[in-house]
Amino acid sequence: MSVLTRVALVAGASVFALSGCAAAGPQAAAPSPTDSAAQSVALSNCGFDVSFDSAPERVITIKSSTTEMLLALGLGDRIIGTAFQDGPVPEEWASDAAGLTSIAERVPSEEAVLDLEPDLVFAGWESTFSADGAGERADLNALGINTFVAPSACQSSGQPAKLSFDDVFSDIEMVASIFRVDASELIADQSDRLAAIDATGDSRTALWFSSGSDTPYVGAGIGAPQMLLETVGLTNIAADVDATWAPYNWEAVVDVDPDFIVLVDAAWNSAEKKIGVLEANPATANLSAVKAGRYLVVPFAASEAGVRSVEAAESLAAQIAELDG
Amino acid sequence: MAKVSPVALGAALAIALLVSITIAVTIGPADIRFDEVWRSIGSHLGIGVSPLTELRDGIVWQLRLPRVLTAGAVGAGLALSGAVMQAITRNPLADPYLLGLSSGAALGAVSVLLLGAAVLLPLAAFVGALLALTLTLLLAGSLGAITPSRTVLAGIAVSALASAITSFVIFWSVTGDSYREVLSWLLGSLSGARWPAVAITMAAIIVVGVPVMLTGRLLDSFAFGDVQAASLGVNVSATRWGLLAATALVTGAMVSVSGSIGFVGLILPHAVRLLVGPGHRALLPLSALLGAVFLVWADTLARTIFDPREIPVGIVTAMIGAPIFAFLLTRRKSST
Amino acid sequence: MIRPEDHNERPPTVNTESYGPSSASESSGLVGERITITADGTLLIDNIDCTVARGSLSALVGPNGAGKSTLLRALTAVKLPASGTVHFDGEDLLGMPRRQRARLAAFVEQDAATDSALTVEMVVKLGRLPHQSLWEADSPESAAVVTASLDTVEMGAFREREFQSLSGGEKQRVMLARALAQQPQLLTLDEPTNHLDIAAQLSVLELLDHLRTTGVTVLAALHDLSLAASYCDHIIVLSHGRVVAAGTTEAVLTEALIADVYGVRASILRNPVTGKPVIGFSPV
Repeated sequence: MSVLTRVALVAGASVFALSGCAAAGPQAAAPSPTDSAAQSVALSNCGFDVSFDSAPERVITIKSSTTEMLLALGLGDRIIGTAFQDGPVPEEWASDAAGLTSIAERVPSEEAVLDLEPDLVFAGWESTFSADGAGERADLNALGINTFVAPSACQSSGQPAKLSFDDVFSDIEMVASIFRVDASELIADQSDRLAAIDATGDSRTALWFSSGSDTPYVGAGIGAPQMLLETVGLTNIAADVDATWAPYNWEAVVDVDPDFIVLVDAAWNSAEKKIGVLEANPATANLSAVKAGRYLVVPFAASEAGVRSVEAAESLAAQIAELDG
Repeated sequence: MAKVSPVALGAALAIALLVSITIAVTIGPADIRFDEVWRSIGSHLGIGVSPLTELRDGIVWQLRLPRVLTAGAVGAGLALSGAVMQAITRNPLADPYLLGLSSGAALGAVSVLLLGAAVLLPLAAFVGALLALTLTLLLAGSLGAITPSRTVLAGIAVSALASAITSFVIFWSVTGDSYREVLSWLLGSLSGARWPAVAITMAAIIVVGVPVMLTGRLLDSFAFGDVQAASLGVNVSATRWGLLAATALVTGAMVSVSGSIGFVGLILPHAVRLLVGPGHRALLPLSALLGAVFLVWADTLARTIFDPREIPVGIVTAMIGAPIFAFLLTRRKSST
Repeated sequence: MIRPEDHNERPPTVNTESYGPSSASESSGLVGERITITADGTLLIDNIDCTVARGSLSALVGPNGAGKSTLLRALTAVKLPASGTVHFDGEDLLGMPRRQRARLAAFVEQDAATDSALTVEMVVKLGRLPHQSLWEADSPESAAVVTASLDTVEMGAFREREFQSLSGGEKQRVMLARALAQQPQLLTLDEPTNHLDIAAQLSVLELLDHLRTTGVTVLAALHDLSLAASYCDHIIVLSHGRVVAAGTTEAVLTEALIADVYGVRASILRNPVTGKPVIGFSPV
């Protein structure tokens, strides 16, 4: 390969996991929290052993999923800094989030992290814990800083065969146990809402269009997109691909002609842009979903497993109902 | 020494190309029968009616056919350019990207993909390629008289610079899975090839590539260096500059459409040389033909081997081509 | 070893005994007038005139750095001189279109080297280039010329061999055949006997001598004075970019001139077999 390709691959490799919107995994040996707040909580998190002697008080959150999870658990006051946020915080937590300071637009450097003297770095993507990112987990540990990855985002180990809401809820419980708070109300609320969702999808087909133009990057069979689509009763056209997200093929999409197209709306790749891509491609411009405008929009932060998953499912179901008229 | 008659090889490759296109267009994730594919194509050419729905017809006419045709054109262009570059620079390791063309194109592409420059991607890539080439020539010229080796060195310097900037841009701005688009482009991919791409690449081949293919004798005259070439009545600098410009145009056009697909321009001319010897009258057109056939099949593999997932064709060309070349090399060694 | 001071003190003796017509436009043969060649500001050839009679086998001799290669390239327009004219058979060689010139004059360089895997036949075919357009196929006539050229240099049997695999002498013959394939009237060679063993040297010069009898004008830069004296009727002596002497071998190659130009003592003897001059050297 040319020098450029090699350089690009090295660049890509270290950036690689940034693309990982990987599914969560149930952790190995996750003991339930005990009554005594003084007892140490020891867990295996993405194959890395962590232990929390007490509830963290100074937390840096990287990515919206972790920020929002703490806000949902009422722990907003423990956050001393955020980084790499994917979009505005939902209304219900907006007031709590108002005082949060962003320390970096992308992955913060290790020094920026250390500067704030946190006791926990809570990351939404496993890849942020790298030498040229927030720091290696072992290094941060040695400096007395705990690290935790949103359990649903583990890639190196512990990826589940297929993500389910049970996994999502147990993740919330796990985080709650670390902070010695009670998540039962939150989980009960979310479970109720989940149960109330009408599977308006009616077994129709859907494409989860995450990004890409020449080659679409789609939600595949074992991650959050699959979970959400199933919840609302839609059949993922890429369900048989054994990955959380995967590069796909327009021909296969056109072949199936999905009833709905889910557009992930991100600041760097908006739903409008994706519609533009679909319409500009002469093959996809003829898809029935494109011609009829049967689009379902999901904000990026809600498309990753976390406290917004239920809300995302509700939104999808409602959008389907609205399109159905 | 020619092991294979050039004429025979040429005929075989031409037939292989036609057959390859015919078959490749019927292969893909969507299950469409051979006859349905060709009736669909026929209907667009005014013969008969398409048996497919408008949507499935779109698969054939909007996705597969332009892609297969583009693959053929790009393969031909890259192999031809590689052969010419190897002759001009008298360097068997030369490839069409030697003078900063692919690095410049990559920078152009990345600026569109990541920085959101409001320009068409192929245009940005093409402009990037030519800017890099200009920089290379300026740099080579500033070192004194422009010789092939100086140009190559200048090209390496410019490539390094463009790559550095590209890498920086990637590190700085890539987010989420946008890196995949960039990497796909850097490795070379034909997934975006529609009819405009066919037009660009075919135009490059017909308008520039074909005339270049006829200059075989001129390239042969360079075998013993500039002085001898001049004594044979060849206008050395005009020939060299003209061929360089032509190669840059062809390569720039190809790269703008497909990214920097590696290996085709470097190795395929050698493969042809191993089969028919070093005479450029045969080498140029045969390299183009072999390049076309090779890339049509490499791309077909890239889009079907992990059906329905796609991988960039640049990965396939590198992984398949290298062992084949090694095999050809051992065959030659054992027979001499 | 020529010391630069020598020439500052004594102007070079110019003994251009004319042999052949003196006017360029009406003469046959190669006539170069007022040729000056510079490179990077350095004067390599200083305003010289030289004449090579038609159909002769002439030698261009001189110490290293005298400018022989430079002059040869100028005479065949491979590298144009800064000023001056060159005519052959009355025609302006420098102003002629390239291909026409290549059909008239052929040039064999020192030490032909290539990394290409060309066969002997392909190398000789290169000489047909000035006679062919880019796209036309090889005609039977062309093929016949190639065969004839190979036969002339007695390399016919080596047709399919790879050029790189030949010995120095064989390569030189093939390059000669290539030049002959151009069907030139004028053949210039730059040190064709370099790196060749004695038998090969003699055979190359025999060939050149034979060519001369076919009417081709041959000018060869030679560093071996005895060889030049043996085969060439006329000699041009070059030193520091100037013609020091030009004329018949007998007239030019005197012991005094050789001492002057080469800075060694020369004794001119006679080869008992050929009767040609042989030069013996001894330190001053």
